[in-house]
Amino acid sequence: MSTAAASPADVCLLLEGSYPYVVGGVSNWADELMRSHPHLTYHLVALLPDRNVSRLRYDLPPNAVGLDHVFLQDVGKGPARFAGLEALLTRIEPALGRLQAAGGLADLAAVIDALAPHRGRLGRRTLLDSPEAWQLIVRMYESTVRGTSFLDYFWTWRAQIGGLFAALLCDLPPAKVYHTTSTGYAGLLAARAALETGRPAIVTEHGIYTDERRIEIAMAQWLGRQQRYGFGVESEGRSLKDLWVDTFVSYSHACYDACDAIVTLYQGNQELQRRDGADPAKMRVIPNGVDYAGLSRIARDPTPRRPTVAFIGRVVPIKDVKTFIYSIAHLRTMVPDIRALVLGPEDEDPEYAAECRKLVAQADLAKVVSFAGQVRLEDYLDRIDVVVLTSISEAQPLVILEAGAAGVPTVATDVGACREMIQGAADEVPAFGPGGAITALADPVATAMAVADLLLRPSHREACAKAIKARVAATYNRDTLNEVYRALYDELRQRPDRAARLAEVA
Amino acid sequence: MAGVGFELRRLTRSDDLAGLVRAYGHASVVSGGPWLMTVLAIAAVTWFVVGFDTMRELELFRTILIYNFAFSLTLTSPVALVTTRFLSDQIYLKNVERAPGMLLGSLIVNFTLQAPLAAAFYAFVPDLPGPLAVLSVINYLVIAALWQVTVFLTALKDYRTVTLAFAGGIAVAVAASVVFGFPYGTFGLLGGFTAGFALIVFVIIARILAEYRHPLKRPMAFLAYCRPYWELPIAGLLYAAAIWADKWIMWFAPDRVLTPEGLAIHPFYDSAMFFAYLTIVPSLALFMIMTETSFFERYVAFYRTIQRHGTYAQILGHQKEIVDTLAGSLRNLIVLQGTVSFAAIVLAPQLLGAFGIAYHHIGMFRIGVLGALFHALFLFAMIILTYFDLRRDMVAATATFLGANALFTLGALELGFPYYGYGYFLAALIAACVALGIVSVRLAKLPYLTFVVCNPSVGGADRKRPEHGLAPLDIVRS
Repeated sequence: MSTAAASPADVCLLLEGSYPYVVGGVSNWADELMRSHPHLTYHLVALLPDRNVSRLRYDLPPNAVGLDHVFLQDVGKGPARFAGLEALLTRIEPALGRLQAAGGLADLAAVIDALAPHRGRLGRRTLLDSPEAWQLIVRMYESTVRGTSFLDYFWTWRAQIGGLFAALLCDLPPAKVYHTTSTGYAGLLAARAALETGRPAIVTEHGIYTDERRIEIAMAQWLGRQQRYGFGVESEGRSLKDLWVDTFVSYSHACYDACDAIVTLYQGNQELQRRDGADPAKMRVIPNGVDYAGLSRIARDPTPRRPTVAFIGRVVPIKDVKTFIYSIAHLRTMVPDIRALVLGPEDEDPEYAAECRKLVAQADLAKVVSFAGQVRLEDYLDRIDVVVLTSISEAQPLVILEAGAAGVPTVATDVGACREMIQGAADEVPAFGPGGAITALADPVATAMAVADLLLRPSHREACAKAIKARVAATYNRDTLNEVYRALYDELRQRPDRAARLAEVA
Repeated sequence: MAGVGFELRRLTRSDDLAGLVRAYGHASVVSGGPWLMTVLAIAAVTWFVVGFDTMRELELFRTILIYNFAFSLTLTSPVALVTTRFLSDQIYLKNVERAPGMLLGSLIVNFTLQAPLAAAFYAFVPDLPGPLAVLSVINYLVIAALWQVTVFLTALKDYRTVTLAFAGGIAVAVAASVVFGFPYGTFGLLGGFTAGFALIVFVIIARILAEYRHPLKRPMAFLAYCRPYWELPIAGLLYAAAIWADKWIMWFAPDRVLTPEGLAIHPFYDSAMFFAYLTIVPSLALFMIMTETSFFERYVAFYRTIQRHGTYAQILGHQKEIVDTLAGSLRNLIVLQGTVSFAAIVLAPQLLGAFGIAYHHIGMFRIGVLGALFHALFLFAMIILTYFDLRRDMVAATATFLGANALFTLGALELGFPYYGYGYFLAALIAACVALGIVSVRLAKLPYLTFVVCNPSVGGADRKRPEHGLAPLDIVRS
């Protein structure tokens, strides 16, 4: 599966739990990124939990010249013994401890500095399974979370520190620029690459890694359980949940400090990046773009029709289609001849889809709402007056931009980049004005009012349509955005090597 | 969203450990059973022989029986240990559908390996009349089958039927031997005895099939366990060979007996050692009580504390309780077995007189009693190693016993009659010290062993679990 590039690739793309094995937003973006820069060669490193590798979900583009794997839960066996293991582990213990609390690049560099000379002679048997490693685990447990479940700490340590070791001991393909698609372990690998090779690194975050982990950790019921019998031992100080979050924040902080450019899709995310220690001077927004040239050619269908709104997206709970249906019920009292379309696949959560159809029947909307399934958007956009998005969570939904390029305004909930795309960023010059409206989450009345406002005031709708179209052309044009990455890559590729950065940081 | 960070800590199902380790611990105690049964049977027959020592037929019968017991027990133990483990895991997983298949499969494997050996032996080594040779082979296979089916005894809750089967079978064996022994000599004795043991085997098989009403499918599935658990058949073979090694070597002593049919035997050494071994019966009873009560509770508490998210300090507390309990048990064992052994040594003349063994073998018997004392301590250590699934240590301990027994018995043979029995004694002493030493070293590192060394959930692709297998100490991510 792994192929080695003969000469350094232009870009080494670091992908944690995504392309080319998992379908999703980041993977689609990575595929698109490589295809948009055919003149650059990419060496991919896929970071996966273990050796249970599934089939490739994407055809690799021709400029992907290599694909390496890092298995985070499987450092590789390594030799059974290592002379001076105890001293080595004692040496990295303070840095590991800080990475579990509020650490950063200097701690990571200290660990790399200690381990790197022995690469190839260290592995699971020495770093994780040896009696010396056991003593290290017990010491770190006793000094941090000793009131909590030792079983959970043991697995936490093996996952966190084991993943760290995997990222620090694996082979690193040579490249001119290292580009990671997340912080986390891929971010650690990017930081290591920057330190060891002196080459520049970029991090492009779609969702904010620590934020996503925070939500998962908060919801993890298995974590932080206390013993249920015996004398109630009060947990002293930090919980394991805190330790998990703190460790991921340390990993992100190290990545941010090592990278030359910290990119995300919209300004809202930058707040979170700053919180995790990102240097504002290196931060920038590069949104995902759409094919403005193609979409803007879609002309409005002039034939008379009922006012039409559309929900565009998968029929799943996170999109809150039910709120959309409730809002149509309200909207009908204001716009009696309203017509509503649900455009999107229903097979992902059939139970939820069935509930939505049932709701339509119960609200007596059968003649108003129709489910069209997955369609080619271009075939519908010319006959849609307003797009509605009721999601409870989004990153940067492209449908707002696709509709906008075709001159269709959107009413969306205040999630992810929706506000930025519809109302424009605070620093937008020139300010194009609103391209629709933003509403609160799960508020069907507000959604209905905002849509009615657009439908009943044609001049307002026209103004919004014009604004959003202009904004997409100026800010979200895929061709322009590709140029931004091209320029960033060109600048960083040509930078000379920074030698001895590791020693300097450590 | 990108990232596997948290997925790393994916969950696997956890369950209570108690079910498995129970069956497992039982098996280790019961594995002492066949040997005890052998000793009892041969002791009974010996007593019988001594009473009628004018009958040469009886002596040949006893010799054939000892050969069959010795070699069937040794050669059956590898498969028996693997199937014990397989059955324990299946019971733990509440998936006993394969039990009848395994019964059939294990008998097939044992017979395939041993029948040719037994047949070749009786065809070529002793000079026996044809029918007697055939009957000897049948007797061998019946005894081998008995060792194999006893693996299931712990799994059968029906102790009444099992006890009745043994009592009835042995009664039939003795009665038939006596009835047919007089008119038909050795053939009649062996035939009667075989019929009685065959009855036991068939009743147990019938009981197993009644208990597990499943089709006989995948009879060879248990063989998959030989690879991941390769230490078990090795340890089984080594232990069985260890307890016979001194007897086998003594069959080459200058004062051995060579029957006219050409079978070497050392009836006085064998008898002295068999009777000496009987002195550890009280210890075996103590093991049963110990593993069922005080130790077992603490053993379970230790794992339960881990599984129920105890702190490290609590885990250490339970480790200490295990160590304390075992130290107490060891003390009790030494006191009990020491008392019994002392009494046996003091009362040796009376005991030997009652069994009709010649007085000048008293030294051999006494040193055998001392050997049995340390043999009991060795078994104590082996049971603990079994509980904690320290299979390689089991191999090391049994190999020590075998090597020492062979070496020192050869030495004792060299030194002559006054030293007969010292080989077994020294071997048991050394093996007990080694095994107890291993146990104390391991117990001191119990948390590390539990979480890392014996934990199949730890480790990469190179440490795969067997299909449907399960280790008792699988500290899974719960």
